[in-house]
Amino acid sequence: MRHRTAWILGVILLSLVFQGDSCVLEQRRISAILGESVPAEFHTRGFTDTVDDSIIDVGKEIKEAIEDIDVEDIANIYISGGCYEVLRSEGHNARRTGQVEIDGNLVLTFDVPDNLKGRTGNSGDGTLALQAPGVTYLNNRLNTFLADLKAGLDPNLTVFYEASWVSDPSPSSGDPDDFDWIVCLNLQVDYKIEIDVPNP
Amino acid sequence: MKRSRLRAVLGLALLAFALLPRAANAEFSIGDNLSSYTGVNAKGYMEPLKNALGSALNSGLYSSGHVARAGFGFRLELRGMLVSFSDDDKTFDAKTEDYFPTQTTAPASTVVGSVDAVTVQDPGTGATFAFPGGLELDRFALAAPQLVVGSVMGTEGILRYFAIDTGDTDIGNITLFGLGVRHSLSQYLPAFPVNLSALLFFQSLEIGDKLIDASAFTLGVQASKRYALFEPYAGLSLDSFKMDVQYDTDVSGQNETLKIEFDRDTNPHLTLGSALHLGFFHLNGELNLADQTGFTFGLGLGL
Repeated sequence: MRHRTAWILGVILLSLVFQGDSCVLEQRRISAILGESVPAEFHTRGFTDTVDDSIIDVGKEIKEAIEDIDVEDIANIYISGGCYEVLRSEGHNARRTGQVEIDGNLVLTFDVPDNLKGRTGNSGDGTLALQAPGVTYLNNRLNTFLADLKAGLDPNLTVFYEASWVSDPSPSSGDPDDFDWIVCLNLQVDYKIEIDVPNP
Repeated sequence: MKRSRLRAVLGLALLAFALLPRAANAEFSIGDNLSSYTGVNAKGYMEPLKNALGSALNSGLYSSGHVARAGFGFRLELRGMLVSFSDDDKTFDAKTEDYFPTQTTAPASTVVGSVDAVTVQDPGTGATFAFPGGLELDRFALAAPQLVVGSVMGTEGILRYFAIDTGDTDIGNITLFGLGVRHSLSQYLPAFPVNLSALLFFQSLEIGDKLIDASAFTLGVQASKRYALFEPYAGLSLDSFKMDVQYDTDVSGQNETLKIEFDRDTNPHLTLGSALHLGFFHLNGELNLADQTGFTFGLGLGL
């Protein structure tokens, strides 16, 4: 009798093991954050140049970043910071101060101690400062871009970057500038995703 | 209520993979939300999961203080470990990443916290930083099968092993491996009124391509006394747990792989439980007072 009871209890327990999985999974709609940076490259040459520009298809970069996300699930796209990096440097080395505009709106100022290859900085370390006019302008463009995407359109978000700077000490004909650098804007995509989580 | 709880825990029996969320409409893993964080925030975000994993892995390793001196015996066991999260586990003091214009600290969700994002705005520039939400978990469960084989000179071996390919490229394989021995102390203390044994056990757990790489070690003593079908038992041990997390991020503007190394945790661990022996079947339930309080339920088949 005792032996039989033990077998029955064992079979019941095993059946519970194999039935239990589905009842402990719960669905969640969670806020996930996708980080992305959009770079613009500039080239500094010679000893008289103090301006360079670049045209960047920000919309294309964003579309590539969110290709795995349903656009209806995107709540917002934010500008969250900026960064820079010297990619190549073979000429004059100097402290550089200046600014970057986007479509004529001041978005960044910089004060970089040198232009040695590999030099990096960001908007939190004092070498780069985000500026409200450019951030506001870009946030508005991003909001319109997102709304158009949700409306089923294929919006364009191409912007014109212009960087200008002064050098200390200044380059000369005997020691000209020759370096490439990028500034980037850090974006965050705030979106929702439905997942099943175990919550026994 | 008890039956419902038991059903839920045992339901996790075959699935260490239940640890991980499964996306309903896209591939998603914890690493996706981690990718918006660098070092200090990643640690804060993952801390409750680390504590729960450490407590769970070092539980459910025995259900008796008895080890036979000699003779062949085996038992195939299934252990379900359940750890509850407190309100304190749901948030951490998150710091904006270093590129944000004004360094700001805000209470943001941990991996087990609210599903909602938390945002802060820099008043000077209008820049916004968002901290991701969590999975809103009340409890964490881990199940592990284990094989106990004995005995030689009062010593039995314990093997835990679980490996699965989730089929999800974001998560990949999950492998749990544990090996240890339990040695009878009663054979040296024949007059002692209860059964005594000592346990030494090592485990490693890898989830994904080093997304989570953890190791656990425990050393302790166990005591039990059999009363007909029932066998109350207790154990005291010293647990050690180490976890590293590795993930890809381009949060700083460059694609890079970040490895977050948590400090090794070492904690005392008290276990109080009881086993029920029904011939070939063995059931047990126990309370574990360690770094985090948890419950373990077990089913064993064997001699």
